[in-house]
Amino acid sequence: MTICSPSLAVLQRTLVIAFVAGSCTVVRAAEPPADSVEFYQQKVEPLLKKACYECHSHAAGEASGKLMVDSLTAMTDGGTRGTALLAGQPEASLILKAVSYSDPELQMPPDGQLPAEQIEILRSWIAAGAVAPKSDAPNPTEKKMSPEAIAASHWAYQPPRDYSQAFQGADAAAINAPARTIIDTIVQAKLATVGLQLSAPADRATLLRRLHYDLTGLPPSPEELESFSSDPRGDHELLEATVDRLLTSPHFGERWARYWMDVSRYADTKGYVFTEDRQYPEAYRYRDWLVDAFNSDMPYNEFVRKQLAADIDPTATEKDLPALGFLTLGRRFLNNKQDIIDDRLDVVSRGLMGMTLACARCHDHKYDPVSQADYYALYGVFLNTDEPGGDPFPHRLVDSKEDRKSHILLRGSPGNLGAEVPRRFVSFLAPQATPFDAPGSGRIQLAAKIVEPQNPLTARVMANRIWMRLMGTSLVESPSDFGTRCPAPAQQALLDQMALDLIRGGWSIKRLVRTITVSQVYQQRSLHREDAAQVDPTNALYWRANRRRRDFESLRDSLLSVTGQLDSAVYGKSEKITERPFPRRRTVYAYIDRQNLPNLFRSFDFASPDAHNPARPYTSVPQQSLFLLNSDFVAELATELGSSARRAAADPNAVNSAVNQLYRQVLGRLPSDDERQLMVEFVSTSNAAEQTSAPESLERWIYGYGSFDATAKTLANFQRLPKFTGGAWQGGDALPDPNLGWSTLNAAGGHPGNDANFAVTKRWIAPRNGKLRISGKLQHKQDAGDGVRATILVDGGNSIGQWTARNSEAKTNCELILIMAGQKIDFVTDCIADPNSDSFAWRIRLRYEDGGREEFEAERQFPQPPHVPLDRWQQLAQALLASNEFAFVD
Amino acid sequence: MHRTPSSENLSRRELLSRSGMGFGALALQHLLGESARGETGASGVNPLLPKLPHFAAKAKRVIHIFANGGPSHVDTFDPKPSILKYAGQPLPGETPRTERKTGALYPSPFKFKKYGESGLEVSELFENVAKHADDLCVVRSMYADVPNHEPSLLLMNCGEARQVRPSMGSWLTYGLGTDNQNLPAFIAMCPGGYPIQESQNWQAGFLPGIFQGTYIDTKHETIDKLIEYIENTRVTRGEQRQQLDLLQALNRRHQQARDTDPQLEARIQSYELAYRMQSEAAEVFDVSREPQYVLDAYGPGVQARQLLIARRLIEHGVRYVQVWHGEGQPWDNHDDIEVNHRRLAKQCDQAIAALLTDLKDHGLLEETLVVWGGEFGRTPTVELPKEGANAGKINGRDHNHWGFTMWMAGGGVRGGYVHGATDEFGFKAVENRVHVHDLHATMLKLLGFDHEKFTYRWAGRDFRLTDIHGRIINDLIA
Repeated sequence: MTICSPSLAVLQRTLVIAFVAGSCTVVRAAEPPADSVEFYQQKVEPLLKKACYECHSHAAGEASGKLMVDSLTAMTDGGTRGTALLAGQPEASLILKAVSYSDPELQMPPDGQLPAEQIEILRSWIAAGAVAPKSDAPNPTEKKMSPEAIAASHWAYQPPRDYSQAFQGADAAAINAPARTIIDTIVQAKLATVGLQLSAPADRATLLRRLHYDLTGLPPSPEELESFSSDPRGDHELLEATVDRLLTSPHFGERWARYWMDVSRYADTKGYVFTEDRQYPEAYRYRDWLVDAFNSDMPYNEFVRKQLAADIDPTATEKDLPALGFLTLGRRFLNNKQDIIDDRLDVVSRGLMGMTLACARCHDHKYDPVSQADYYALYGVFLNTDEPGGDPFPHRLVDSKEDRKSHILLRGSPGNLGAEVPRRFVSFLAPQATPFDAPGSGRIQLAAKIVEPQNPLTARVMANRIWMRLMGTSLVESPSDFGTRCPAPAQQALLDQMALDLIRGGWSIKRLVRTITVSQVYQQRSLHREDAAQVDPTNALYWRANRRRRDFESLRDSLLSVTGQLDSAVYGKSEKITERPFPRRRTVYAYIDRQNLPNLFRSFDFASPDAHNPARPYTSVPQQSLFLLNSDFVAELATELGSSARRAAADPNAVNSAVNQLYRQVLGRLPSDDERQLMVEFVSTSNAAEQTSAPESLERWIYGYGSFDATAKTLANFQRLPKFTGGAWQGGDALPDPNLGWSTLNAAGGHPGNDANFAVTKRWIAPRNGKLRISGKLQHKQDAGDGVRATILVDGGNSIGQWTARNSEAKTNCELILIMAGQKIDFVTDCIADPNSDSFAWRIRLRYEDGGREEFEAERQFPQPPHVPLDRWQQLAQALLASNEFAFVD
Repeated sequence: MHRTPSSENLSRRELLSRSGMGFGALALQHLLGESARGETGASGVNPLLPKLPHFAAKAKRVIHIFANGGPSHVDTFDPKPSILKYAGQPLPGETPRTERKTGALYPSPFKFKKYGESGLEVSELFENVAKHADDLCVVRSMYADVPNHEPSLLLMNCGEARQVRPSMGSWLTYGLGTDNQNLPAFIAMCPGGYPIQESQNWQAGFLPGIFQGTYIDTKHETIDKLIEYIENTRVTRGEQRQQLDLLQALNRRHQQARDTDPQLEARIQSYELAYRMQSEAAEVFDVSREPQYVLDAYGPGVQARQLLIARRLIEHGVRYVQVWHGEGQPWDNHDDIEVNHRRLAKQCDQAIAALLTDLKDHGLLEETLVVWGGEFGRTPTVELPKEGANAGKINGRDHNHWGFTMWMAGGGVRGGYVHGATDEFGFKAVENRVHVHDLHATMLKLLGFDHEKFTYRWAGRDFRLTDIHGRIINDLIA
């Protein structure tokens, strides 16, 4: 493992250059004799350093098999297998035996045998008496700090300090606003030390958008914004009332449940599996439980306890069993037990305590006072936990009936058993603690240790997560690693105070959210200030609010919300949001396929469901823009929104007000004159010719109807079926349609209209020249009526096949035809004479029989998006939905 | 992007320090001028801007041709006359354990011939690739850890068999960014569907999601099927430009009221990138733009098309291209190996050879590291029939992780060179063995990275592609 600070990297590069330069003029010196100290220094030691120190040296803090090889003494002393080196006796020395790979049980280094010449160096050195410098033993004072010393010195391992008194006498002159909360006191005091002050409060509209974003993830309506801005109450009173109102919104729980789903690496699937079902069919019930827990402000200690041990916790009921999804909904690693437990230990330790316990799976933690014994002590907890399946929640847990002993696995390898360890908590946090008593896995005891007020990590970690969500940045460098490599935050007093407040406030999350959101610090403007940026360019001290790009969930939810399309029902099963017909539910209910997460999620920086997720990046990449510009989902929303604006602008005198109205609906404010002028110009300069020409040529399938002449075998007046229901194309929402009757086409087939003028037709447009094979099968399953007739026409005229079916089926295969790009093939179905009982299925397949062998299948390629061109108003609506003002929260 | 490093997002400073690339690279980038470094003009917001590796290197891009399923080395690049000599007899000593039971030594049905000045021996299956013998660096002593597809695929792609780790393509796009912002930086092509282990083969793991490989099903030929949201079927390009002009005019007004915020500028630029991507991507994936002689050289079929696309992508600055043979595990010939291997090689041999020629003709081979191989090889012994497997046939080979062959070309590798050897029968790598981690370490070196210093901090550790393993095999480097 390498530690890489930039300065170290520069140093290393310099060394590489120096080495390369030097190597050009190397003069080969005479080999030192094998019994010389020089031989050891030049040949043996570098070899050992490279091949063995990683696991057997003081420098690495590793003594695998209790053996060190960084001094002659250490090698002679040996490890668990006894002495490793007998001077003068290479064949009897274990170290040589290991490197020569002669014993299949003892092969070192484990990842590949050393080159023969290096083995020879070791052999000749041992044979010549294993000469080494006298003082080669590493200085014991260079040893790592003891775990106890680390535990006693690292900031995050000390109890949070109470600063509420310390700031009583803060320099009142240095601060520019009366402190409303202890948060304000602490932040202002810190800012004062570098000569800075808070920014002015943001305006009301900005604040309302910010509060809605943070507490519900949805934008306020234009009406809410207007009444908020004109509310006669004082700013502070109004804001407090608004925070309180939003905290009781059911959408608060949805927003904050999704945050927790990042922590708990939520997914609806297991990841890669062989043949078993990859679904977690009831995973959504864990999500529902989370939504409910946040909405009912379940105290955080109880929240944690239930997620670890709802099956045993006396305060839990059957309704709480889905909470166990926290542990059970991780990746399944092809059912490898060690990996499943490792994933659970990781989500518990990093997710709840900012502790990187998983680093101690193969060896003691390199930096933190966490031993391998600690890892396997907690491993034992999950080793003694089983998944019973079945009702009432299939992803639940129970304590195992038998008592399974946990052993340290040397180097993490299941075949390499070390000492047995009792189930217990991490020792540096509970030095005198007794093992978790059997019977039972110890999960409930583990939960108790995590949330006991003396635990210095749990409350700090959660307080930081809450702050991070509300303020846009984390106080500590790594929100899920509070270990020794995480320096104390610049605002440690703030973090400690919030942690204490969380505990003292009965672990109420809403209470802490409220404390933060009613503070002056939260309510600042997000504008840049050059003076402050000079002093604190990254805003680490919070002299302003942070402008934030909406996360994926809030962006999609807001798109649905401002277009009036949002289905705001709370709770429920997961829905595949990238599949048609596009669900209108909030993004928190999106189906998360852990294995093959759609690119859309990744493009928008969605939390990876592979493992616990500390924080998301916020990038701006073209894939995001492509989604907003070109996706059917956004086009559908823009179509709805733009159409109503166009209708409103039917009277030429109403164009300005229609633009105003559209703008207000999306962005919550009226446009400036200048902005309005741009938009009015845009909608009035439509290029009709361009609009109708291009899009059609890009389509592959069009679903329509036309007049079929059975004698001439021609199709005339082909028109699109106007209504797309998500499952079928037809005349209107319901069948029969007043104009188009029973005409309908779906993926598999459809129903012709009432006479020859309504012959339903799937039109395919050739993408390129080539030889085309058409095959298929027509099915009609009713005995009543006269059945259906299917005809295949090229460019509306040339018939290349005709079949009928009545309670029967017919193969619709054609001769190979030559086709040119852009030619149309019509698959026409008419009712013959009687439209009664004419539902049919027609499987259609087209295949180029040359180089590409590309296939087209009507069924598989259905439903196609309604490729209706966007008019100018709809384009305007889309531009507003794509705008920065929409995407960012000031 | 005014965020402290604490929020774990990607400021340039943080990317550099996390990747251990340090101030040297940073300073150089400043010397070159921010504007020259990419199109966003704002630092720290587009993590795909081009970046420098640890040291200057020949290879700048990678094409990994993945013969998924496990091609048989003793039938392709590792001739073993002793199998024929002792045909039908058991392997002397104990037969190493593989996935299934195997029996007697089973000679290759394919003829080997020497090629080039180097006299590289290659079987008739790859007679066209063999014409490039003097450019190939053949490693005959590869070995992996277990004889199963899933862990071996993950090991080959991500350097770890079970846990979720970033794939090599993700590591490299994280470390180097990409030269063309109008195309995805890392593309994985596989016709007809996913290989085994699916998109985990090109996963970003704990790296930010933007470094994940973009999967493309090359069964399709039209751009709208190849890249998501690349095509707009509702407005013409001209109208979309007008729409964007309006959008950007509104965005500029919004930005002016907010002074300097690189996030806003980055998003404005990302629309321009997206707009250009539409035409550029459509062009790059359209192989019909190639002259007929090039199309003829690659030959017919989907392998030819996707390998030609690979060259076009590389030519346009894409960093890492993976070309999979097909859905599932096509090279996994537990039975009928003669028929199946012949069929599979016929699908790709001509095109791989054409790719190498083509890269050379375009002056791209020097900078492009081409890698060919599977997740493991196959046994020299015949697989025994088993209920539910290979239908009672005794004419195939089992998986073999003990020894197999991979080859590289271009990108600064030593051409016309054979490295290492398997035992007399081709079962185990015995001479100059090269573990998959060693291959990774060597590939990273060819691309300018010290695999021990190319790290990303996650969950309290500095992770590497090679984890705690990997030795650079200098013999493979020219």
